[in-house]
Amino acid sequence: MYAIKTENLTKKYGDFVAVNSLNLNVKKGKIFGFLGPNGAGKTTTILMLLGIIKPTSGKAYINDIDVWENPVEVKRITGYLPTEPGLYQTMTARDNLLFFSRLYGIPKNESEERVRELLELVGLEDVAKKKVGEFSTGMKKRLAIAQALINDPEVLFLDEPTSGLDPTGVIEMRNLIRNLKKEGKTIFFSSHILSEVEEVCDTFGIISKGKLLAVGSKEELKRELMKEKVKILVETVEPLPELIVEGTVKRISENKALICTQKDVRKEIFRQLKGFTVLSLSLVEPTLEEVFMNLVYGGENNDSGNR
Amino acid sequence: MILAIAEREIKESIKSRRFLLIFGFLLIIGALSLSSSLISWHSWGIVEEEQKAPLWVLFGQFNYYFTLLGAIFGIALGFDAITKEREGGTLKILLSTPLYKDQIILGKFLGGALTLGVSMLVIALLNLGVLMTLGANVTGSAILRIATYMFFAYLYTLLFLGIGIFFSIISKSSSNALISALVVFLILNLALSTIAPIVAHFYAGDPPKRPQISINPNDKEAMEKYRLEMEKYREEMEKWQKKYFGVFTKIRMFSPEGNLYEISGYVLNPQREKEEGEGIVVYQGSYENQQKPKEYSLTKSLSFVSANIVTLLAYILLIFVAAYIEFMRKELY
Repeated sequence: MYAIKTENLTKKYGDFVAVNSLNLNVKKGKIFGFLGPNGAGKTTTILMLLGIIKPTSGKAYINDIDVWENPVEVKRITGYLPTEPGLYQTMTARDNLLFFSRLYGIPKNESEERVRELLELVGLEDVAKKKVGEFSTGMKKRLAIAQALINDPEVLFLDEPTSGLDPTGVIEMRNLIRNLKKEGKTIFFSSHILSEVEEVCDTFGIISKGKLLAVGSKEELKRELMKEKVKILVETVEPLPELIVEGTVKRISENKALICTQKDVRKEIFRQLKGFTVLSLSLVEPTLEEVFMNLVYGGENNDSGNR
Repeated sequence: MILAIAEREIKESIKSRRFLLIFGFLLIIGALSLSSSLISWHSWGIVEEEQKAPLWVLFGQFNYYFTLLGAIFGIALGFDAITKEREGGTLKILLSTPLYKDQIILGKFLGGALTLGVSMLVIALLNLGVLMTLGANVTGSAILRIATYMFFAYLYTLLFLGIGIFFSIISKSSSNALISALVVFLILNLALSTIAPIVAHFYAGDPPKRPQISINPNDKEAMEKYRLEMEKYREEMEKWQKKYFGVFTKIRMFSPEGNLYEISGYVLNPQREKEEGEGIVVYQGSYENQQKPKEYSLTKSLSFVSANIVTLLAYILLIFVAAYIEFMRKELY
């Protein structure tokens, strides 16, 4: 059984296709990194998975529950952290959490205890009685995480959880996510910043213009990219001769070159280097960023990180 | 869960500056208008000392101000009910909790309605306290009529709460919702009241002219001619009035302010009656026949304005159903 499963999940706004036939499966207890540039359809996907917006076609399941047929059941076992924390500014941190706990039908005595625990977890116990309007962005984000955990969800949706956080806040958030994974929660982590998901996620999905371009573990994604774009680094003691291979040869120095081809041509190169002292002849693994950039932007601007 | 939403709505509303401002203003207007009406009644001098001020005189000024402030009060509590949640990002969170979507909008309705209800109760009690303190005619029956009037005044605010909530659902921002609700308020209350006499006059034409004859009382023939012309004039005037007020009241029926005005006129004045079958408001000639005017029961008074009550209730139902459907239909987040 998958914690999250979609079958041709599609959302259209008139002629605009926000999410196009999305098929993905996330195993229980895993952290799934949902990567894509701004406007790729990440938030729309999350909102469909939460039963907040209705898909135009296709199905979504959380723990095998059909989201659109039983949205309330799904909402009972999910937690949601939106990009912008949705908190009542005129209420205190504690009152915000108590209010949301009422919406989950948590008995008052239990909710008091739960709120206290959560405020401690996110390090806001000292400002529990302070109005949220007086909080910094980081504090609001932490409180929003506590809010998303109020019902002790089995599946947690985090939409750009680190946006607006300072470097310390980002580290704290990552640690918190890791600890939540240890508790057995399934986490759907959306971001447009690759480095943020790379460290904590088990599997990744890359989405662009509403279409899921690739899905798998970091290694699987790299392998997928290497099927079409192989990079081979060759280094010899002597100056390199002219290499004749299918593809391009970029000379890094007189005895070092990077060969970009469609397939693994190391044997061919090795033959051509007969009599040379070969220091290195190895495949260069792409970084996840390269995979991402290649899929989303077709390999353009590989140095730019994010666009 | 509806109660949780409603409770939060009430707490948020009563702490808001706009609520305190309009509510405070209504309390002051209530106390001042009632005091001033009572003092004016006594200072007119034409009234016998023992004759107490009737309710419709006392509440006339208050009702006038209330049609304006009451509507603004309702709009102020509703215009950002949904837009504020959307702007603050809390609507997404509410929609991600195990609430049925309609529980959110019903909670909003309930919260607004209770806030207005309690506010109107406080205003009614203060008004009653002012009247009692100043020694006005506050019998058991008067209290019942004041309570009934305040109930309809409450329904009036409820209608504008609904209008505010409706626009908070369909508008992109709170400011747009406020402007739209105020425009509807202006059309329903001020524009219709302004248009009504124009259309009525257009339909009925100019009123008949009173015969202008200089007569000698000793000239019996001339006197008879004058009498006949006056009789004809009265008949024509009656026909003209029927036509004029027929259209006038029908147009005013579309105005919530017109409906509250009509309802208050009958609820606060037990002596006021409606000419059967004509739909025209006339005042009984109590001063002509020098008899004590007949007083109607509250139920009878209400029956005179049943059409206005039904219209007001229909308006409320219509706007709340429209808001509900729109909220359920629209993809809001």
